[in-house]
Amino acid sequence: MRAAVPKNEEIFDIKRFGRRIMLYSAVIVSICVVCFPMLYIFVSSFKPGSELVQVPPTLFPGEWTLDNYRELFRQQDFMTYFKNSVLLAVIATLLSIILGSVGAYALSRFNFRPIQIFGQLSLLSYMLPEVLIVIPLYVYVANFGLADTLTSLVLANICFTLPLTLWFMKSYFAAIPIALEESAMIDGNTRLQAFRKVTLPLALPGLVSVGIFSFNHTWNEFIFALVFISSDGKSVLPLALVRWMGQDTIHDWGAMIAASVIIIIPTLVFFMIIQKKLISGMASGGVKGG
Amino acid sequence: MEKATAIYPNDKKLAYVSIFPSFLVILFLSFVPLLIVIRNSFLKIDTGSFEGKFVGFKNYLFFLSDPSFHNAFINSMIWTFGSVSLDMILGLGLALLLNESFKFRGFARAAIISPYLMPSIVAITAWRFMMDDFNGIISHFLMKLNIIDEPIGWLSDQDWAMFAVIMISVWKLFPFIVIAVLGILQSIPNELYEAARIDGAGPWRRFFKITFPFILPVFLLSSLLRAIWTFHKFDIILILTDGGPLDTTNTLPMFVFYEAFTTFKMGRASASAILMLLILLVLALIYLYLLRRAEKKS
Repeated sequence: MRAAVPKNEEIFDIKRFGRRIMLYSAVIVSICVVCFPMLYIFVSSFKPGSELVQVPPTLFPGEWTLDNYRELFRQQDFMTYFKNSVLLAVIATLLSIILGSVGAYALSRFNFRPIQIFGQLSLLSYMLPEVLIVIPLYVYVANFGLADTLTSLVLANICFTLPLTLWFMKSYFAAIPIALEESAMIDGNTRLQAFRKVTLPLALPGLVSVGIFSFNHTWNEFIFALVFISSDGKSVLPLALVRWMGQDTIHDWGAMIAASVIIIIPTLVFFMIIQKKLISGMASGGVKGG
Repeated sequence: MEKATAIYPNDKKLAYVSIFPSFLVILFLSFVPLLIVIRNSFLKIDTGSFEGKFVGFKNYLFFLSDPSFHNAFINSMIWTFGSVSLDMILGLGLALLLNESFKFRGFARAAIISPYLMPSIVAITAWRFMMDDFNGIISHFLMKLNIIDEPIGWLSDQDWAMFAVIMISVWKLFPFIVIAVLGILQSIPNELYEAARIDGAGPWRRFFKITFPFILPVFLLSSLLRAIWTFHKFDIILILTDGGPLDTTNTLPMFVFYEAFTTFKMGRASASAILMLLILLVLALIYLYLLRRAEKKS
């Protein structure tokens, strides 16, 4: 008995080895379960239409095809939805970035009471439930002739993205030392020039991040679209999917799944950009070097 | 904040000019709308118009005795507590797992957090496809494992629908807890663990004596924040079950949305929206109270 007991270090190693295996299997299982839905629709988007309704379903395509994507882009409507989505997201994002960053600068640099109170209240507006805000905005839309326009969606979206920009950029500006602006002003710049030449470039990574959040929010939003938009020509991508899903019990899974994959793309690309930007942003920026 | 200097004057005019556009937008897109909802909640309006007949608290009183409102309230509680408790368990567990050191940890973290970044409509489409009544892969996988005999109509069976939408919500949003807890886990000073190890504390003891108390405030606060969001989120339910089958997934925001845009009883819808907001306010006040206490402690 005694002779069979291995040396101390070996016991330790076996225990440690066992623990490593458990750790790695836990990680792998978690990743597989969490990522399954995304991977599954990705591979399913390459299945022919008949395979998508087949019982039992297949895990991997029996036959790989690009038909679903080809069919999608052949439809005139899909291109319209795509254009509308891009237009809407770009306009809403630019508006909230331009208005929001100027406002956030004031919030971070001035502390008169009215301005600070407004700051607090704007946070409150960010917290309002969508279902509550959609009711009065519908009253606007119905009474000001905005029904079925992209303008109505721009308004509905900046109602969330502007407060987000204000708060995000407020803390971003607050982290940029006032001394930098002051020294630029000593060098003979006006205040606006100092803002444009010193503060804004330093705040750029923040603007990019919050711009991405805003774009994403608008790109994905469909509840306001569902209420405000009625015609096909004004529809946006997520709304199109909602309408396809609601149409009947037998879905055109090929188009729906391929469209989902396309909707994900900007999100994926943006978050890859943001990761790098955030790291290379403030830390290596001009804060230290002036 | 910073004191005004000669070169950096506290320029009131500039401050007001730069805040004005944001102020206008928030005034007309948030504050005025909120006032409109409050005003409309005292009116009888059956269209999208602005006019209505004053009825006092009648709309509010109506809901006190309305069984479908009670049902929606109970469903909201099941939806919120069901989602958030699962979020908490999964979020804490996975944050602890992802805090261990192993190869490709950065990749694993990104993969686990990825559902949080997915557009809702994509998550909805993917899960609808996987939960299909006839050829959904979840049913067929469970059938292969001999756990069930025939496909389950996850979203069309009244016994399963609430469970199904909760699962989708959890999948989409548990990473929020992972992110929050992972952040605080990384800020635990290593000396605490070393001291405990010297004192001979095992891994379980170290977890309950050091890790858990340290992360508890952030864990609870992020969970409460999730509860507030989950309470008023209804996109998954709206698209996948529309409150059905037989009202089993009809939560409060669904109820409000239906009153407003199916029956067009705007006055009533506004009153129910305000009631919902009051419930949210209670949750938010608890959140702020706990936040203050946590801040005082640290």
